[in-house]
Amino acid sequence: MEKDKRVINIDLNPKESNNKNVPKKFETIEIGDSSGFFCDVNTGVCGPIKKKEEGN
Amino acid sequence: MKITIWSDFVCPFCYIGESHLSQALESFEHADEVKIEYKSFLLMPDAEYVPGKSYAETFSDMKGIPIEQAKLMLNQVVDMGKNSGLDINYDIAKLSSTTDAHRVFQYAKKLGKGNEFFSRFYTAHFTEGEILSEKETIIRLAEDVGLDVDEVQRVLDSSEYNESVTQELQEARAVGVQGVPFFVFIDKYAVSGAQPVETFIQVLNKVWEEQKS
Repeated sequence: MEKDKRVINIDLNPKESNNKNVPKKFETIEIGDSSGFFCDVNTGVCGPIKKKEEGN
Repeated sequence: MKITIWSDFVCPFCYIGESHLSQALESFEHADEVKIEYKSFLLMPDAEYVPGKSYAETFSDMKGIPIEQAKLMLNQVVDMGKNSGLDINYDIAKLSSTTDAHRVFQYAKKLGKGNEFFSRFYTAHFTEGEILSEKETIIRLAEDVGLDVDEVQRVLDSSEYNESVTQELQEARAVGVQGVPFFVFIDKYAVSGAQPVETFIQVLNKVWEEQKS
């Protein structure tokens, strides 16, 4: 089965991406299909990290 | 290898994420060359402990979300904690502000006891039902990690280390942190959120290789 290769939390192309979870300063590290869980700093609500947009 | 972690003592996924990272480090052959630095994050600075109210009720009121949604979220956290070997008990946990605790954490960090401090305060909040906004509690827990009681009292009675906390919060904002925990490896690679142990193992190995080359 082909693994969904996902870039976590790093934005190589900040201007083109809608992924607001991505800081501008850091670089990319590609890791399997992990998504993870966090506590949103704006809402304080904790849960799965949602990908903002697929295929971007 | 330096790992920086933005976190708060009352952030459940910070507690879980840290546990996963620790487990990953157990199988990482260069673990003795890893240096972890915690940085302050205030997830709910306005939180106020209300005696007689459950954690779910306080959280629901604070965030304006239905109580059932709050309970669902907390149950999910408890289950995940269990799977990670952590005893998270929201039946006795008390939601409160961690601002003063973070000021004392900054003092602890200056003395090289920041990581022990975080570990002690995680357990105090999630397992022991301690109220982390209470000065007496902070002093007692700080004493557990070897801090001088009089010095901690002095810090608490002043505004000392406010600036250090603010600086780390601003740093988080500047790099666009949207959620905690937030891990940064060798000041270069960022990983947001509690990731599975296997993911942390992959990250550690990749970063190690990169650092070596």
